[in-house]
Amino acid sequence: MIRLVLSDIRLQASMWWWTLLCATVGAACSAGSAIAMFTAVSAARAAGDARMVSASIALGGNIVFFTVLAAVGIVASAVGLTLTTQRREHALWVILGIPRHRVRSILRTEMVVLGAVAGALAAPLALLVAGVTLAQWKGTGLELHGASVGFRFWYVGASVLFGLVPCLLGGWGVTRRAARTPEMRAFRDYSDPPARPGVARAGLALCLLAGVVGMWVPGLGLELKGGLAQRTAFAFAGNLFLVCLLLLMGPWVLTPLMKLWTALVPSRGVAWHLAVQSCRARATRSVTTVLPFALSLSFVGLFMVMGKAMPGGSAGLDNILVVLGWVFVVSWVGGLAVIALVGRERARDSAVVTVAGARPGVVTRSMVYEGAIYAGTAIVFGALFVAVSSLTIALGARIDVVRVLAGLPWATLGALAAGTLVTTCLALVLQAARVSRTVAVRALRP
Amino acid sequence: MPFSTTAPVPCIRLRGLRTEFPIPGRRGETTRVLHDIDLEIPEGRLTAVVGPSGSGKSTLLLCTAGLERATAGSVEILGTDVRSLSPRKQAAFRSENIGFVFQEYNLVSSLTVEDNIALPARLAGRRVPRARVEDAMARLGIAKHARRRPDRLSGGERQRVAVARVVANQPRIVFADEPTGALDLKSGHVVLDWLQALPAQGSTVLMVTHDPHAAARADQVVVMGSGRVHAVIPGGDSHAVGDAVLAAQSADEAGGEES
Repeated sequence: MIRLVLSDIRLQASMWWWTLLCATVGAACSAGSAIAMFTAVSAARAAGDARMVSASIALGGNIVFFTVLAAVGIVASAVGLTLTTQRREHALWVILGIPRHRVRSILRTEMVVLGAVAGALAAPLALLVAGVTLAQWKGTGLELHGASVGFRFWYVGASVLFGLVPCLLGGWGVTRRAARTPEMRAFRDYSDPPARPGVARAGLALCLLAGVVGMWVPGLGLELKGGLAQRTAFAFAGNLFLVCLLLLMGPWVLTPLMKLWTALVPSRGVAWHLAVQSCRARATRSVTTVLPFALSLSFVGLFMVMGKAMPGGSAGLDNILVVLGWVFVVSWVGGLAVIALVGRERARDSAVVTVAGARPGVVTRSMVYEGAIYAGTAIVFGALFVAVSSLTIALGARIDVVRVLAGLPWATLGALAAGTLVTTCLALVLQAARVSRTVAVRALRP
Repeated sequence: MPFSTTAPVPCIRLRGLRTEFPIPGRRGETTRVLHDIDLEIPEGRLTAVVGPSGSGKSTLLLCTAGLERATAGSVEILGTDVRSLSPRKQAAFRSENIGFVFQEYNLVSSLTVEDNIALPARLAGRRVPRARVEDAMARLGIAKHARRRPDRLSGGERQRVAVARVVANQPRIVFADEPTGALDLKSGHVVLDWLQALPAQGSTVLMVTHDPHAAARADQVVVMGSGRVHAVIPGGDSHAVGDAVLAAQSADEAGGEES
C-alpha cells in the first residue's frame, strides 16, 4: 500500500504541493506559538512570576487553539479540492477492485505522510515564528524575564505533531467523502449535488446560535453587577459566536451575499458576466476562497470595535496581530492555495472561451474580476459584520453607535480591504498569465 | 499540385502548410507533423478529413482554424490570410466567422446551456436573438436543459449543446474535431445529421474523424497519412473511404520501412 501512496503523491505532486504548503505554514505557526508559550512559561517559572505563568498560558493557549483551527480549515479545503481533481483516478481504483475502505486508508495514509513531511519542514520555521511571537509579546508590555528561543529536540516532535493534526482532522471527512463518491459520478465528471448542512454542522450551528443569544441577552438587555464593562464583554462574546456561526454556515451566507452584490453591479461586459457565472457556479470553491479573507476582516473589525468601545480600551492592529497574527498568515496562505488549486478548471474554461473568439485580454479581465468578486464578498461581509458589532457593542456599552463607528481606524480597515483585493486579484492575474501561455487547444484535449 | 474539390469557390485555401513540433526531451530537435500541404475546401459543403492515428488530421484542422501555430505556409479563409492577422484580429475573425465542435470540453463549465449557446455572439459584441437560441435548443432536443450547467448533462447532450451553438450562431465555417468520438451510436448519428444539415444553412463544415462511416456522410473526403494528403475522394461510400485509409496506412508503413 505504501508504494501506491508514495507513487500517488509523486504523480499528483503539483496538486499536493499546495496542501503541503498550507500544512507547513499551519504547523510552523502553531508549533512556533506553542514553543513561544512554553519558553515564556519556563522563564516565568524560573523567575517565580506566577501571574506571568498564567498570562503566558492563557495568551499562548488561545493563539495555538485559533491557529490550529485555521490550519485544520485550510488543510481541509486544500485536500478537498485536490481530491476532487483526482476523483477519476480514485474511481478507477474502485473499478479495478480496490475496496472503498482501502481507498480511504490509502488517502488517509497520504495525509499522514504529508503531515509528517510538513511538520519536519516546518521545524526551522517554527523557531522563527516563536522568536517573532516572543518579540510581539514583549512589545505589548509583557515581562518575559529574558525568555529566548533556543533549539531543543522536542521542538521537532511538536512541529511534526502540529503538521499531523491539521492533516488528519482536516482530511478525515474529506477522504471519507472522496472514497464514498459513486465511481461513475466521478468518472463522468458530474459535480456533487448541492451541499446541505450535515448533522454535525447543524448541531454545531445550533450551539453557536445558543451562544449568540446567551451572550447577547445579558449583554444588550440586562443590568449586570459588573456594570457596562461586563455588558460590553457579553456583547463582544456574542459577536464572537456570531462570526463563527456565519462562517460555519459559509455556503448559505457567503454565496447569497456574493449573488446579491454582484447582481447590483450594472456591467454588461462579457468578462464580468463570465467572472460572475464562474463564482456562482462554483459556489463551494468560491466560499472556500472567500472564507479566509472574510475571517481575517471580520475578526480585525470586531477587535477594533471592541477596543474602541471598552472604557479605556485600545485595539490597534498591533494588539490584534498579537492574538490573531498567525491565524491571518495561515488563512491568507490558505486563500491563495485555494485560488491556485482551481487553476486547471479555469484553464479549460478559459481555453473554450478563447477558442470561441474571445479577444486577447477578455480571459485575463474575467479572472481579475473573479478575484475582485472574492475580495468584494469578503469586504462586504466584513463591513456588515463591523456594522453589527458596532451596533451591539455600542448597545452593551451604552454609547452612541455613531461615536463607535467614527472612532474606528478606517484607514487601517481600508488598507486591509485593499490588501485583500490586491492579494486575490494578483493571485488570479498570475494564474491568468500562466493560462495565456498555454496553447488553448492543448487544454481542451482529453 | 494542390488537392482541390469540384466546387469552384474555395472557402479555405492552404498553401505549403507545414507544422513541426519540438520533441520533448531533445533540445532543438523537431518532428514534422504536416508536410507542405496544399488543399482547397469548397464553400457550403461538408468535408471530412480521415486517416490513421498520428496522420496529422487533427493538427491540420487546428492549424487551419488558427488554434495551432503552423511553422510555414499560408492559410486563407474566406479570402483572408489568417496567419498574418494579429491575435486580436484573429479572435475577432473567429468569433465572427468560425464555430467549433470538439470531441470533449466544448462548453464553459460555469455557464448554463443557453449561455454557452449565446457565448460566441456575446464575445463578438452582439446578441443572438433569444428566439434563435430557443429554436436551436428545441431543434436539438435540449430545451429542457436550458438552465442547466454542462456537468449535469450526459456526453451526448453536451455534444448537442455544442452543435446547437453552431446552429444558433450560424458561423460561415464549422470545424469539428472527432465530434462523435466520445458518443454512442444514436447520439453520434444525431450530431452527424446536424453537421450534414449545416451546409444547407450556408455553413462550410470541415470535420476530422477516424470513422469511415461518419466520413462517408461528407460531400468529399480528404484522406491523410504521415502528415500528407494522400487523396481527395467523393463521400457516400464508407467502404471506399475505409479502403483509402488502409491504403494510406500501408503507404505510410512501406515508406517507414524503406527509410
